[in-house]
Amino acid sequence: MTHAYLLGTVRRGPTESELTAPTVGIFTSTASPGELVSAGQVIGRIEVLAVKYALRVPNGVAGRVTSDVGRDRTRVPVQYGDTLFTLSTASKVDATASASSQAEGAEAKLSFLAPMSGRFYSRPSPAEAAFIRPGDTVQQGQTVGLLEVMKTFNRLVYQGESLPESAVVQRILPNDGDDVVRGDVILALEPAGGK
Amino acid sequence: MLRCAPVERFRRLFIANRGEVAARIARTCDDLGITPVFGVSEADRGAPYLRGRESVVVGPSRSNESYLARERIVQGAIQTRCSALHPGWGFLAEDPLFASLCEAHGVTFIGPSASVMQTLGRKTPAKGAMAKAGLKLIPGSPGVLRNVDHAAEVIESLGLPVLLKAESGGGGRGMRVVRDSAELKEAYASAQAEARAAFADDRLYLEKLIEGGRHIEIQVLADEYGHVVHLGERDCSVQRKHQKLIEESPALVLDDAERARTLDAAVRATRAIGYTGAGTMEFLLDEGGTLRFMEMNARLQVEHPVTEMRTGIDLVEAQIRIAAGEPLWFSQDDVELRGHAIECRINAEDPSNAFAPSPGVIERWEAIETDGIRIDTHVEGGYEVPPHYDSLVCKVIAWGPDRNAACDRLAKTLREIRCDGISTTIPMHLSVLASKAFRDNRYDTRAVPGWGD
Repeated sequence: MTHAYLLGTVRRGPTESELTAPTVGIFTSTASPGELVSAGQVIGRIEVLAVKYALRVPNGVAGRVTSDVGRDRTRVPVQYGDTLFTLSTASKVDATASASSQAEGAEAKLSFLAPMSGRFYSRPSPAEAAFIRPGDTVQQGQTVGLLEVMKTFNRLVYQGESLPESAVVQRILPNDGDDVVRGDVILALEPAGGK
Repeated sequence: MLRCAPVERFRRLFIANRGEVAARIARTCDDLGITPVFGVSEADRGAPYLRGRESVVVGPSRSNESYLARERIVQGAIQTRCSALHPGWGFLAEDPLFASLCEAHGVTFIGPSASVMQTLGRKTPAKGAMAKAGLKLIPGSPGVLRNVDHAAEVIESLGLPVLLKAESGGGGRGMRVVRDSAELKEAYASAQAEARAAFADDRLYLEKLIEGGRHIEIQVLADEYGHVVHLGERDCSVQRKHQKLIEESPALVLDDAERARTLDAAVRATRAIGYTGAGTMEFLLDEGGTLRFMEMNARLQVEHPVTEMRTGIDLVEAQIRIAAGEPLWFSQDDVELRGHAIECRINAEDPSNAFAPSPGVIERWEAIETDGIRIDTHVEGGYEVPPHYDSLVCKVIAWGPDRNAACDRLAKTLREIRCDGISTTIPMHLSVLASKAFRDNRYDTRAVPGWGD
C-alpha cells in the first residue's frame, strides 16, 4: 500500500475524538480493540476502485480506540465523513491551524478582510510569483490576491475607507488555495511610515 | 412524447452532480421507474432535493475531492449498486477519462462514447471534423497555442480583436477577449488560470472575435444505430461575460434558408462523427447571416427545457434510453416544433452590484408553476446556497403561441417569485423582458439588452 489517506478528525469533547472516513470506499480496520494509537500510525485501509489506501492517524491526535466500525467485520462500505473510530484522548488536541492563525490576524493593528467567502489564491497562476509578500507596501487599488467564488475568479483589491492610502504587509494569513469565510483576515497590516 | 415502456437495463442510476440538474435527472428517473442515487459532497449533505432519496457522500466540499474526483464517484456508484451514471452538466460531464472509468467498472455512462468525447472535448480537432461535414467555421489558430508568443504570432496574421478560449473549455470559463496586444499577456495568464481551475487543462486556442453576433445552437439526438434527429435551434444571445442568461426557441433572427441548411448539416455532422446521445452544436451568427460552428457540447445543456417545451420530448429520457441501447422511438418527421419557449436562469448574484456572488440562506422561497410555465429548481425556503459551486438557483421556462406571449408569461411569473435572504438576477431579467431592444430582437452578445451594466 503505497497510497495513504489521513483520517479526518472531529472532536466530540475534551476527552473524545472521532476519526472519520476521508473518502467514500470500502473500509477495513487493522486496529486492535483498546489499542493506543498516535499520529502517523496506520490503523486501517480503504479501497477505492480496488486500490487500497492506508489510513493514517492525523497530526495532533492520539488516544485509545474505544469503538471501531470495522471491528466485527471487514470491508465495510462507508461514505466520506462517516465515523470509523472513536478515540478516548488523554490530553487535549491543539487548536486547528486556521483558528490559531486567525487569532494572530486579529491581533494585528490593521487588517484587510475577505469581502466574501471563497477560495484564496496568492498568485495569478501557479507558475507566477505571489501578488504581494510580507514587507511589501500596498496602495489603495492594488490587487493582493484572487478569490474564487462560485467558480469565478475575483480580484482582491486593497481598498476601503477604514484603510490608509498605503500600508506594510506583515503577514498573509491564508495559504494559497485555502478556503476563507467572509470577514476572515487576509492581510495583517501596519500603516506605512512607521508605528 | 414520453415513452411509457420501462427501461429494462437500468434499475438504479447514479447522479454524479448536484443542485438543479441533479434534481432534474431524478424527476425523469421517477417517471421511468428507475431509482436515482445521488453522489454528493459534504456541503450538499442534507440538501432539500435529497430528502427521501438515496445518497452517498463521496468527499469534502471542494469539488476537486468530490464532484471532480473520478475514482470516488465511480466507487460511490458501485457501492450503491448502480448500473448507470448520469453526469449532468459541468464537472465531469464531458470528461472522456471519467466515461472510460465508468465503463471499465461496469457502470454505463450516460453520454456519448469516450472516444467521441475526446474528439469533441479538444476544441480544435472538433472544428476540423465539423468543417469536413460541411459546417462553416470561425477563422482562428490552426490548433492549440504553444504559449503567449505563439498567440502573438497568430494575432499578427489574423488581426485583432481575438478571443482566447480554453481547449477543454465550456460554459464561458477560461475565455478572454484581446483588443490590444498590450493586454495579451495578462489575458493569456488569467484565461489559463481559470481553465486550469475549471477543466484541469490550461491549453488555449484563439479565434477571431466576431462582434455583434448572436449565439445560436442546435439540439441533436442520436442513437447507436445511426438514427439522428435535430430538435430545432435555440437562441442564447443574452449573455453577460459569456454566461448565458436567457435562452429561447425558435431563433427568429435566423433566416429560414440558413436555418434549414444548418439543421441538415448538423444532423450529417453528428452522424459523421459517430455521436450518440443528446448533443448541442453551438454557432455564432455573424453579420452576414451565416452560422459559424464554435463547438459541440457532448452533454445535456442547462437550457434543454426550452427544447422540451417546444417538442414535448424529455431529453433526459432520450439520453437514458439511448444509453440503454434502445433505438430512437421517433423520426425527424415526428418531431413537431410548436410555438415559442423561453428560459431565464436565476442566479444567486446581485445585478445591482456588478453581479457579485450572493451565497447564503434563502429565508423564503415561493415559485409557482402555472399554465405554460415550468420551474426547475433544487431550492426551497431555508436552503443555504453554498459558496463552493456555481450560482444557478432556478430556471423559469415559459411557453406561448408566439414570442411575445411567452415573454409576457415569463415576466408575470418572475414578478410573483418570492426569494428573500439572497440577491438574485430576477430584477435584471424583468428589465430585459420589458426592454424594447429585447422585444424587437435587436441586440447581440456584447451587451445585455435593457440592462446598463
